[in-house]
Amino acid sequence: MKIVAVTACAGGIAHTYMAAESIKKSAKKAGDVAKVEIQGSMGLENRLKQEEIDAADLVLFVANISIRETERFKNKNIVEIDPGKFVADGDKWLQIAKQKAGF
Amino acid sequence: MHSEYLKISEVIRPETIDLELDGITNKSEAIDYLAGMLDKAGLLTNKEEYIESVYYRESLGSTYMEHFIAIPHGKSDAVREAGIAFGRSSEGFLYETADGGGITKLIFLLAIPNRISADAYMAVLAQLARLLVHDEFRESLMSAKDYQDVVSAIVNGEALLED
Repeated sequence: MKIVAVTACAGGIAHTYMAAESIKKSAKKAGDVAKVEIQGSMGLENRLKQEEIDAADLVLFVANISIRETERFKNKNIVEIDPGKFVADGDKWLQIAKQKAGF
Repeated sequence: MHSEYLKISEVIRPETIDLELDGITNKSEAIDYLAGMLDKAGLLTNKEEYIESVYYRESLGSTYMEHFIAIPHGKSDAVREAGIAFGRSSEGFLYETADGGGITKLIFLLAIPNRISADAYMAVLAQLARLLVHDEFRESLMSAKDYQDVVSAIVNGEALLED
């Protein structure tokens, strides 16, 4: 499955990066392809391309603050999960996210 | 001139590592002890002022990262040179935060001088946070026997990170 994700958090740094790494790690393990954009204190890192978003089966918003430029994700299947959940257990929450999206 | 972006391997040094934090029973003792190592290594100009910057950051949000890990950090004029103190407690101690916290066995205390750009500071923290997601990295820190093992764990860990 093709997954795109955006991570952002109030603290701005550690949780955002840990959540992003955790999504990538768990996706790889599950045989999925994941691209993760980090909206941290350093701006937008690994910015998702529109074609990547368009091709994605699942969009994850992993944030506890508002995500910027959400208009890029119009009409997509979006699941929101708290970053702390991905920090704690990426495999479990990736599975839950897929279920929530109807996969 | 130091390069703008710091690397963990450049700021971690033998005298700021303690792999047997056995007398430590709580968060404030741990922060005080690790700050003491940074101070003894000559990285701080004022330990108390630096510790205040750590608690100020604590007040903004949790630095407990699950998996028995905490990454407290402070950016302050009281830091002469950037450093990371690393402590390991085999039994663990309670690391309380506003949203709960948990038992900590691996604790990294980052000291960043105010004169360093915010981005350089975050790059180190981001790199460490990403490494800590990987079980292999955490396990190699848990089993490290000395400073050289810790450095090897970091170098090997960097290979696990993509893009």
